Amino acid sequence: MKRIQSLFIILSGLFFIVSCKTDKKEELQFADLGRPQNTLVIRLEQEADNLNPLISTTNYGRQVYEQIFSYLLIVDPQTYELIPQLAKSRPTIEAITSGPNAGGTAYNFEIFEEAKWDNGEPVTGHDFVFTMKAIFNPKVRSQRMRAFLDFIQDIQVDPENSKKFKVITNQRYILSEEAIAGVTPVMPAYHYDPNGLLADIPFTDFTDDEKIADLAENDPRIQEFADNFSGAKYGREPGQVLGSGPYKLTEWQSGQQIVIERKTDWWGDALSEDYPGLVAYPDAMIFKPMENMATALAELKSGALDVMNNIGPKDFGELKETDFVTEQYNLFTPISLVYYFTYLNGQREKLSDKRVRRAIAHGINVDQILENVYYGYGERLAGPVLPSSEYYNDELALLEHDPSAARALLEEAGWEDSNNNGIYDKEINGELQEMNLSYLTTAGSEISRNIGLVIQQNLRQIGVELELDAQEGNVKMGNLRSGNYDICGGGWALSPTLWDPKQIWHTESQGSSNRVGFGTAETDAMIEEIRTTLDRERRNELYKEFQEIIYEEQPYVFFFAPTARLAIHKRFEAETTSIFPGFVLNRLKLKGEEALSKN
Amino acid sequence: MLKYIFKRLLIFIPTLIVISFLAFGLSKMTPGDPVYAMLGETSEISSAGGYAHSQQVYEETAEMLGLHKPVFYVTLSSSAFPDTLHRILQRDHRKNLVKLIQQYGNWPQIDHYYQALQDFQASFYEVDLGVPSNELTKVGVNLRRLFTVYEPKVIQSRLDTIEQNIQQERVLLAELGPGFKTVKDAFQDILRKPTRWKLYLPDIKWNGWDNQYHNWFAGFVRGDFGISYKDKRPVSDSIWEALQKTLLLNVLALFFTYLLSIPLGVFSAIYRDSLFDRTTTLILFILYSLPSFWIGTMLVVFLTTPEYGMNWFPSSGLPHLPSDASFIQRFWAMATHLTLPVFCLTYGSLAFLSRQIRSSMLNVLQEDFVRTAYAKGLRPQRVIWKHAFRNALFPLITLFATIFPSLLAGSVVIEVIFNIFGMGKLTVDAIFDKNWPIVYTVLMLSAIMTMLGILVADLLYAWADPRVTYGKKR
Repeated sequence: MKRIQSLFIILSGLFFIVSCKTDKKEELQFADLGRPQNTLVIRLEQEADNLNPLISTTNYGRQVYEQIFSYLLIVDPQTYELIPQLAKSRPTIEAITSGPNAGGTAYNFEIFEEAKWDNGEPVTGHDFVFTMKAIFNPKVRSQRMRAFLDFIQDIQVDPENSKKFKVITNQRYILSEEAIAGVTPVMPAYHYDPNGLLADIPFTDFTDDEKIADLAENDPRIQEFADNFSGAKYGREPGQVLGSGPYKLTEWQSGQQIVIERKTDWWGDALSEDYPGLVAYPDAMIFKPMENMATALAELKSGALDVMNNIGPKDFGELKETDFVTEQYNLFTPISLVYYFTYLNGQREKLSDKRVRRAIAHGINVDQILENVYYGYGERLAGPVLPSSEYYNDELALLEHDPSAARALLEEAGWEDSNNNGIYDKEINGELQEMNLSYLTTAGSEISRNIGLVIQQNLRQIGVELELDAQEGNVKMGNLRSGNYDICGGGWALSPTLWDPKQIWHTESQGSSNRVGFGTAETDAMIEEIRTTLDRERRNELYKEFQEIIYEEQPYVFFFAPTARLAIHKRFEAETTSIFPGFVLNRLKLKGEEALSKN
Repeated sequence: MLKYIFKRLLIFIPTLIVISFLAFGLSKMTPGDPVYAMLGETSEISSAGGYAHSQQVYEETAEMLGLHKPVFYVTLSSSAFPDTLHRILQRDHRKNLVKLIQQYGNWPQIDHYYQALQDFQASFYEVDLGVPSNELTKVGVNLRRLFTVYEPKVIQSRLDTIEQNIQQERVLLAELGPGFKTVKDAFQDILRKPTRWKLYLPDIKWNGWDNQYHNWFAGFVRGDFGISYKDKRPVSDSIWEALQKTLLLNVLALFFTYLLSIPLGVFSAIYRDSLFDRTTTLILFILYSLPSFWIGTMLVVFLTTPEYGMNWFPSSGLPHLPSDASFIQRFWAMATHLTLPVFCLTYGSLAFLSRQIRSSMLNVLQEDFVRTAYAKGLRPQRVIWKHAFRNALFPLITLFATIFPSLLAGSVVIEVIFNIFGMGKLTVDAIFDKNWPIVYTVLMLSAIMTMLGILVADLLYAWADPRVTYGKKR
């Protein structure tokens, strides 16, 4: 018994010490946060995968590396126009009329004279060429980027002024400029290819399918470069992840934090007044991966986080009601660049009639889904275009919830309830078929199931029977790709700039991303025309016309664009944007002393 | 004894090989395409290149993952299957061909049909009418679908649609007609010359040493666990990092569990039915029935934020200290960060273990030799710890056998709640991401640890009870 007593004494002693110590800590946190004022602590929903821009495949990696590297041009977070970062201005564009790339387009870029790498050497067109060679090296795992850039045929660096270069492409394509300037940041050749393995191979060899295949087979330098370049060293080691951006990587503790610090004599400082793309206020940023929402919220409430995005809808409502949170944080809900919808698989006999699809659209109570499942955090839309975009067709009204209109449409399409069981039926190919459909949900996802339940209940009112079919994520994806489903929820990205509908709406994408069997020769032709029309007005006309066709056909029931739910610490001047993750980290500016005391 | 240990270690080898077969085999059977997992969902984006390009991206990636090699040393199947099927990189296409073979068993005809389809597709992409043509579009749509359909009726209806559309335009008929005829004839050939009997003839094909399994297992034996698909780091690095955290948590948790549960169990057995016994029983049962994910979340919500006035502990993670921090500072930071997770890991097993010890002690205390020991006039302390406890150790040892593998395996729930990413999180993420190099390695390591744990437990039995011997009886 004595032992137990002593054990209890020890334990209570321990608790005593714990409580004494933490009291002090609490004071510290509220007095000065326990960290420098101008250091941002950011929650990442997942650990970043890699900080080599060509190798990383996640948004989480990108959020970090885009502070370390710089791009030729970036998208302005407010106007969504392309603005300079490394390049002095947007490129001058020339049509190529003769030679092997006739019909193509050339883009002339010029990099800032001031721009230099950490070793003092200037950033030049040769670095851009190097970056492209690395992307086109078939042994480097950068297939994703290659797919965006494979229209590039040649890059000519001005022999007089290596800051100037011309990118030659073999096509006219609306997104070429954005792709060239914004898919990848420019990487320093001296650092990532210290032995100059790729230096002697002309760039045109990389864009020639036969030559590059031959090189990959026979030139050991291609493989050697890829092995060095893809290694963990360039992906995560401080001192090895090097770019021309305002920050440098100083620490990466797996699963715990990534720390980047402001360079003291960064070349962009001299220009940042005139060029908003070169602004970088915080002295340091600490990225902390935290997957669990409850944990992240606890960190936020204890003041250990400065910015957090994608807060759970329900939690966000609670945060708004919590005084000591609103005292410390500003909460925002900018619209995000995603839209949610329901696939209606037009390849299925029962859904092949657009009247049936429109009936279902009228049958689903989208507002109910928005309110009940997303707590109202979303903005309805009628088509796959950002409503604030200049080519958004605002003449298309939302298809409102209207069961009687839905029934009328179904009856018009030949459906009737001949056997009086409350469900429409129709004779198809000599067989009486009931209007019963299945809805794929993701097994284990509460949200997906809840949406399914609302839709099921809604459609029952218009005489359509919906069966919920929960499938494991990969299986569901496979069935979606192969068109083996009736109805399913989905989400795609909205473009803040120009929109290339090909991936999702072209018939060529049937079997991959065009999962509803949308498209005719006319729409395909229209998509091709949109992709190549550089004239803004004509293009906007086409965009609007195309939206009208989608609206008419209703291959999806369009739901809404969710609003991002953000918290930003009050000591920063907050600026939000629709571009993921909802804020621009380098533009979060510490408020002046006076402003701080007011808060 | 040494001989016994040596023998047991020898048995490890075949066991491990069997486990490696299972791990590898099952991973090949799980649904979902590792190539898409590797590329991420956005892989479908192929803005400029279009369909042909995305095929190329797919194939390049598949090749990088080594999926172009045969899966195993031998293929055990029916003689209807060719030994070159693995060279078809598109997983969808491959699966579809398998289904065709299963129906007709005539690979030469099916192969011919597949080639004809591909040639037809190539000629399709060369057609340029200059104006939009619905017919051409429909041909394209149906053509691409043909690669993933296997029911003869469906194929026939797709072929019919293509034929109708081709015949409606003279240009199409001229450019695509011959190619289409080859496809159609090839398909008819499949139907006309089935060799279903081949499906019933078993066949073993030797694929050589350069196969996916061999490359992986040979690497594993050499200590080269491969490269993680997700962050492209060596698997050993990822595992080592996670393992350190898991070991830290688990060793502490185990230490506290045994430290507290042994005296608790022994004393409640000695003072059976006393107030002490009843209170501890009650408390331990309550603790045991509370799920750790709930307790963990409650602790984070209540004890780590100022919301309820009890901001006593840091919410998550492990501490980050400057390298010049003193030992005391380090120790303190570690202690505050680890208290809650270690508590969550400890309390459940604490209840379980102390109950085990209590009941086994109760049994032993009723034995004659204990009474004899008391009768001899030995001090109660000595009777309990030296005579009774040693005999009550068996259940503890059995449990110890499970400890070895559990040292490696982290608790996903606790790791996620407290944001300490150890083995549990690593493994679960790897499984969801189809990051097989990590999954295989963790599986093999835990298999090894399990076998070691059982061996150690067996040896401990012999230590605790001299009647147990493994050598030859003298």
